[in-house]
Amino acid sequence: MEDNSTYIDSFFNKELNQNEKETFEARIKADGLFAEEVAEYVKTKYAFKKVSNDLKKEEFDQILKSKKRIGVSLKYWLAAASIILVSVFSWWFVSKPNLETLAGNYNSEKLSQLSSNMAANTDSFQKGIQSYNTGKYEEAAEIFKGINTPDAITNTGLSYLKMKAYEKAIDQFEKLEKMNLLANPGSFYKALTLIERNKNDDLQEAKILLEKVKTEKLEGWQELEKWGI
Amino acid sequence: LITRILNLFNIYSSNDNSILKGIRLGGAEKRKAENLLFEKYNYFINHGAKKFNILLEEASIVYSDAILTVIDHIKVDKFESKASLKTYLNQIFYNQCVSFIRKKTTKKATSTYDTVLLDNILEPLHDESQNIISQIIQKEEESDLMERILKIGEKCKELLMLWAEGNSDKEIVNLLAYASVDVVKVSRMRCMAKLKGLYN
Repeated sequence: MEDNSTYIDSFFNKELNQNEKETFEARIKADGLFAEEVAEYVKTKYAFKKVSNDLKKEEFDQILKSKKRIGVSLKYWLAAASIILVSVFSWWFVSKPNLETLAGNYNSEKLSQLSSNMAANTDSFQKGIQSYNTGKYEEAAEIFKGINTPDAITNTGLSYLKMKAYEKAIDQFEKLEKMNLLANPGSFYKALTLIERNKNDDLQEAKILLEKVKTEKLEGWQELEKWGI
Repeated sequence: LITRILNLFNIYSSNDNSILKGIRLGGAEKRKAENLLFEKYNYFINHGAKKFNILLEEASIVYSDAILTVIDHIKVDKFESKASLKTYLNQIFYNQCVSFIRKKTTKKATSTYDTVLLDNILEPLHDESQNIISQIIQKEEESDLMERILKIGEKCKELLMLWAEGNSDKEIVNLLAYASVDVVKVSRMRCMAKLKGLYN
């Protein structure tokens, strides 16, 4: 039997010209034995290509499986990272100064010195400020009490606050609250006093007051923004 | 995890040209490029499963087949870079998903032979010749054919597998360290004859 393997190989390697190709195809139709040889060639290529593809598919399958495994471990890593993140944030929030600390800091830092108000720049008012600024709060309270202006009432309250005479301070700030002023710090200072006294429902009441200061943009709201309230 | 991240970076930063070059180079480079191509677009699996309402496992099989088809097309220069690799692969994957669903829904008795694979090999022939050859092929069960090739020696298996993958004799010379192209061709023909002898 004639060996046509090289001829068949040339056809499938596209090495034949157009005429040769046509002759090749015609022979398939006319010569059964030749067609059998072509079929055997194709089967051989098919079988080995299939083996190669199956091996490749196995390799692809392994890639997908390893990706899934990595995906799962990545999920664990992400979960762990989330827990750490939440812990860090919680720590940050927990360690963030509470309301009492914020109010205490405000009192000691911002209310340690009073500035003079040009509108109420009377001698006695100045004397009161001097007494307050040198820590003579009782004396300052007595002086401010004698001047019936909003600033003097504020300073009387603040002097009482420094003296830890909370009830008296609250009285002054409530008096101030009732006044129709363009900038009224009554509610804010009353809230500070309640926070510092911290008895029974003081904190709860202070929070309500601070909420009011914040929403109505009363004197002190900018400070509350700094506190993150 | 770090290795994986670096690997992912490598996959997504790889461009079409480096994949094409790797596949055309053959050997280890080809294998690396094939896996890169497979990994780069494997999100098609999820898209395909959703779009065609098939199982993820089924979409994975179709995706693997689509990748192998694209690799073959690259190897025989059927992929002409007119479209991006992504577009080309997407089209093939889409078509193969449609074929998969058609096969699944029409419970017609089909040949055990992989028709896509067989059609690819028969492609240089005209339809009439293709039919004649296909009918002859069907006379032998695919399982018998696959059993037959197992009986051939390892050396022949290695050589015929590289040839079936689309490597030319010239490429096989380098891949298997043969003395010359002629030696490869003669060895390949001998192996094929041996296989034919096992059938007869």
